[in-house]
Amino acid sequence: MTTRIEVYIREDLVDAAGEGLIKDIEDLNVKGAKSVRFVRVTEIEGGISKGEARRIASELLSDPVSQRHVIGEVSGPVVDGAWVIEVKFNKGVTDTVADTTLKGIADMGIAGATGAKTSTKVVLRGKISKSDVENIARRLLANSVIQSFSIAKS
Amino acid sequence: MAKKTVKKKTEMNIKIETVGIIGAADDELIEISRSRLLSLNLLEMRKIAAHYKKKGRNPTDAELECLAQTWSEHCKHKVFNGIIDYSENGKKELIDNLFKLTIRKATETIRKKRGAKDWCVSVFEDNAGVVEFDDDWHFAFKVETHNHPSALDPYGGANTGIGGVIRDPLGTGLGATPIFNNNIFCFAPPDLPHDKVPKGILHPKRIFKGVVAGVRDYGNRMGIPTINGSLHFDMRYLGNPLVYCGTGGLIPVGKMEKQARKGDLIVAVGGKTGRDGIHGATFSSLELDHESETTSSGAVQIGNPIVEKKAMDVILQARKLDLYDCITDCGAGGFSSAVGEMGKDTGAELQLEKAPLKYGGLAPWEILLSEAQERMVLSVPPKNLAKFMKLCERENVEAVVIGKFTDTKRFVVKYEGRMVADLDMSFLHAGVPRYPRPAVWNTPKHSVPKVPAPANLTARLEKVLSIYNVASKEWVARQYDHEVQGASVLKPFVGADNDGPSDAAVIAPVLGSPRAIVVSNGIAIRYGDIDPYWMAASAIDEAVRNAVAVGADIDRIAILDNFCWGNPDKPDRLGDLVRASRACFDVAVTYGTPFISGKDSFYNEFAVEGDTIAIPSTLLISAAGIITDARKVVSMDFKSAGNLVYALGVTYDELGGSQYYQTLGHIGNDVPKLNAREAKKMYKALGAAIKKGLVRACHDASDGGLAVALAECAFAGALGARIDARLLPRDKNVKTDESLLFSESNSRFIVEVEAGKEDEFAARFKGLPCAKIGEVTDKKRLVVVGLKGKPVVDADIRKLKAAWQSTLAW
Repeated sequence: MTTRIEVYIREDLVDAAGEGLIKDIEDLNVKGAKSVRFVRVTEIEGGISKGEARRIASELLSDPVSQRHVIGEVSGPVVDGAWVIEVKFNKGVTDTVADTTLKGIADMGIAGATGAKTSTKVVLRGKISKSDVENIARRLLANSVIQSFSIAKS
Repeated sequence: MAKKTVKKKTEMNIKIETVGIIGAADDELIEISRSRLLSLNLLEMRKIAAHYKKKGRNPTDAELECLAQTWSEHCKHKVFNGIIDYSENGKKELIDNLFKLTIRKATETIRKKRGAKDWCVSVFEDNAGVVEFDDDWHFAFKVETHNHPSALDPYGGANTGIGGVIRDPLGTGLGATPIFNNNIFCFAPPDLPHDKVPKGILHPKRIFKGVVAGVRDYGNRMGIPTINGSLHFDMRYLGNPLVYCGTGGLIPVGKMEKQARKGDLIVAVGGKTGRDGIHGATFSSLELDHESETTSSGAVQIGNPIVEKKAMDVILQARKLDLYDCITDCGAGGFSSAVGEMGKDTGAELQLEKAPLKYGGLAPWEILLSEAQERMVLSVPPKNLAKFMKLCERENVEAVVIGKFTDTKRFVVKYEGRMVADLDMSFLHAGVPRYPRPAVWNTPKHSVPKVPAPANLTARLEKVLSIYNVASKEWVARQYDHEVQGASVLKPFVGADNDGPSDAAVIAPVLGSPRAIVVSNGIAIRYGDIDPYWMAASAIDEAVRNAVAVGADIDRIAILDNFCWGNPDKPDRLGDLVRASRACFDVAVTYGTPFISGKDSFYNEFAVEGDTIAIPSTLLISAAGIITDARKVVSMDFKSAGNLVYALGVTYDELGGSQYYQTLGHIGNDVPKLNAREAKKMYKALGAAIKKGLVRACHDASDGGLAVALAECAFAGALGARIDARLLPRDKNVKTDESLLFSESNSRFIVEVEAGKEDEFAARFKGLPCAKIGEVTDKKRLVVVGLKGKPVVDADIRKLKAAWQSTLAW
């Protein structure tokens, strides 16, 4: 069983990584990007109860003051019409954050987790063509040496 | 390589291949080297074939890989230690071992001259250079480069760059405690249009941001302050960015001796082994091209600072308890290199199946060669093993016995009893053939601006302040933690608003003691286009004068060399190396500043559409010195209105290679030269004046010349200054204001002296180039009167500061 936890900066706060990406998109000469929000995704393998997942999300993976999390649901920043780019590690590439997450889960006294994977979701709002979104993903977000990406419109 | 299928490991399925090189024709030998990414040339392949012919068997894949990495340029420095057939402006000579004749000889000469006062502890031997600090501690310092991996994956590459260099002091002697990091980067201009970036290269801004994030995340998580650094930009770094990372550490006096003994167990500590970083050593001996992305993805390593931090904590505890005899880090070449080095004088036997793996399916040679990060190798006497393992268990650090040291002088590697490799230590370490390489250096001729400069130079000063090479690097430095460990005295940014550029960093690492370490660097890329000799001389001078500017004593400064060069098989690149190395000898000996460690990285070239872009020959000099009393150091910002401004050092007509000429699109020919003998006298005098408390502020003049130095002193102190440039000590050939203000002549400082102390100050510089040139004002304007008696610069310091800050304010 896979438990998917998504963590993101509260929508009323500035997402610094997102603001940075907007500037880089302008450098790419792509116009129309209105807002960018980053979502950190953690997928945990193994038998984890809902309560345990809530504890992992709130105590280990997110900062309750500045961040929000969802478990197995669509993240807050994802709104209709937004582009969602998800960047994952290629097979065989060491995912150190996932390794440390697993260790952290065990330290919390939760036994069921057998594996973990992390990825990054970028939610992009604005009038941008699919080819431009692909360009953004390829040139600014995913490094093909170690990562791959997928694009969806919500 | 990347497309090789991963087979699931079963006991039956472990493949140990034999490579048929006995009797192979030359073209077959070359093909074996090429297809296996060995980076061995024909001569080396022939020597290996002959060796195995004598043995009566072919080598295994692991043996060949092991030889390739031990003999790689990265590990053996074949170019520097080799034979060079050199021609300089038509004059020919044969150089046998350039490194020995220049860098190493400089240190030997200095140590001999110092005699009983020699303060070097270990030079060029261990993973880092070591000098004396105080009665209880020695100081270890190492600077590495991590260029090729950073070109492919900037974040991961820089991450492992800093992670790797931290393990160098940690693997020096019986282990030094890291106390600071520094880093210096060279990139292509970050505003390059995306369509100008060739296929297979990441955009320079992306590389820049990725590298900074990589260093930041690793350094900060290790709890080591990043205290010093610099950034440099040139189009030729497009395919090959340079990422220099350094770490300094303290090691207890008496913990320097290390020697693995027969019967000691080989213990791997820290990270697990994966396929990451395979061929790192040989990969860094290849030119990159757009295929590099796929052929070399194995060379990308992923760093994990949490694992390294835990391993470091365990090692430092075990050091205190004397639980091991020898230690080294797993860097390029992985276990093969680490164990091969440690067992060089004894012999070693490895059992590869014991190594903890990240995943199955690794061939034995891959386990042997993997450059997975965060691994240290220790030699633990059997009687201490239980205690050591308990310590590791308590700290949650993985530690596994993977073999033992022997007395056979052989490097034997087994996998579940099967022979993977059986190498003579002597052939492995001393077998590499030496052969002459041609090198040429001819004095070039460059263009100079023909249009005379305008009468008012204010706009030009603003322009120079705003270019990438001169502009404020605060955006980068603020991402690093320079305060952790609580030892910083002089920080990267200083002044009224903590945003002026410090010449050097100072830390007082031992709690309760004012004794401090000063860290600085020097690099003079554009001068190398005119003459690498003066580039190297200027880099040493810059590093040393930066340290002197804050209060270092030149007799207690040690330096490190890091050469990043193009392909040394091309005679012009190698000619540059000869010129630069000779300057290193001349200047270091005159200054009495020994080289204690260094590194070279060649093949920094990128093939694009049939053409090759080589990086400019780049020499980084890092300096570290001992300051006896940290309370006496000075920062560069002007402190109070009414104080006097002095200039030290002669300004020559030396605009060649200057930042000023760069803004005008020229290189020029009059490169800054150096009179090291005269400079040393001044550095001694300045060091003493600072110690005596006669100096309120001191700043060296470097990129952008005196105009930039004056502007920085003023806006950092939020004060103005009125300067009469006619009073500057200058050479008779300086006939224009632009030359006077923007020449980058070496060995010059701007000094602020308290009103009333001028006589005492000036008396210390009798017979040296020293002149009062103006005073600090509270007007917030920088006014410089030129040669014709009229102001040539008249600017609001806030406007100058804005020009300097806005470029990299991302």
